[in-house]
Amino acid sequence: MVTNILIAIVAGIIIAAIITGIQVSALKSVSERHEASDYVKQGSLNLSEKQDVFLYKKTERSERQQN
Amino acid sequence: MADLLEYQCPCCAGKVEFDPNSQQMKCPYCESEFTVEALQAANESEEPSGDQLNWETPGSDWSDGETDGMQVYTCKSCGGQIIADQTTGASACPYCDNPIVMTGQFSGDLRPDFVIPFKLDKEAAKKALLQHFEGKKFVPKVFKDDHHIDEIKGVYVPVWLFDAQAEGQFSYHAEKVRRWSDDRFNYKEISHFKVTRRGKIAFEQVPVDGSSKMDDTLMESIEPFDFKGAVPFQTPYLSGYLADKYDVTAEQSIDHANERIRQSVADEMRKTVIGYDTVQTEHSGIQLDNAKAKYALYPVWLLNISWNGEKFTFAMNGQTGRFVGNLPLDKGAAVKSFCITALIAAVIVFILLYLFNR
Repeated sequence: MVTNILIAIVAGIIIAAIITGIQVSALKSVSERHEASDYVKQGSLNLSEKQDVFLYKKTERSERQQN
Repeated sequence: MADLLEYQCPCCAGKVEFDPNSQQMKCPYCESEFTVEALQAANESEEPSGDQLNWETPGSDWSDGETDGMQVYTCKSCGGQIIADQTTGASACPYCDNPIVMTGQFSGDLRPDFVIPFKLDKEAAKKALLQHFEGKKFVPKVFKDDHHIDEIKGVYVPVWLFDAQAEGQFSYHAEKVRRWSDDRFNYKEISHFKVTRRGKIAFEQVPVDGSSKMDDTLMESIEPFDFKGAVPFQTPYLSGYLADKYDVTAEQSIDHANERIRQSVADEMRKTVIGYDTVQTEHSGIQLDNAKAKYALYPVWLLNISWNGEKFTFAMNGQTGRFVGNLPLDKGAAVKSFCITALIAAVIVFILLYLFNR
């Protein structure tokens, strides 16, 4: 009974924190831009070099739990 | 004595030697084998080349008589200078809300190359402001009922527009992971790749705020502006609106435009690396050249509301209608709502646990 109350309280706090957090963050709409993707000239990407070279591979294994 | 060419093992960084038995390069420390091509690719050192910045100066000179109807208004409080025609009804500074006075005939300075005329009028701006308040919790009631919205002002903000041709070289370390199992073991195989990309991308009209009074972050938040809506500048466009004089030169604005362009070059190149489970950038170099700067006026609806000793600025893109502005938080209301939500949630969880454990 006591455990249930404690779980309920913690769960209640977490849920309320998430909901209130979302509502508070909705108040902010001003933020800096770090990229200029809106200003890329369409179709201007021109790759002069494209190389994908295989280097090496490594294999690991782990024992499965035998029941 | 001739210098010996040393290749580093991509696996363990040991010195790799040619193994005559396998006819491949082999690392004596970790026993990994590589083709000559793979080893050369892995050992290529990229020196990122320097930037070549070659910005041509923008704007032009005013022709005779063009500036006759334009007056300079000065704000006594923040020192800002606004340009408007003689018939403007504006009497308050769009940035700090204090009174402005006409201080003289406008002359000199650069003539803008382009202007994006206002597509949305004051009514549309007021409607957008009210919509911005809707559905937002914890905004003080007094703030929402404020009747300042009539003071929303249309301002042409000076911007520098940068065109650039960017060239980038990138190298990545990429991995493909394969998993499988048999009766006894779980297997994980990781294949490592060296990926290189080199290419060119063009950028057009990257805008940078040319007014120190117009907050850069606010201006960026209402982007993008569509340059297709721009027209060659003519003074009649200013009529009925305020125009801000530029006070941040093109050279000062370049750094921020550079950073944004670099980030987008990196993003576009990264998009071409596909088919891997993980990708890490190892080296990058970006050079920008053939850059041109233009001077333009972009339309913004601005409103300041002071509350509790703080100033809140709202801005709307006068071309697209995008509306932004941070709203104040009523801490008391937020805490009250948090407690009620927590209580209701706790009760629901308690009831669910009770029913579940019966």
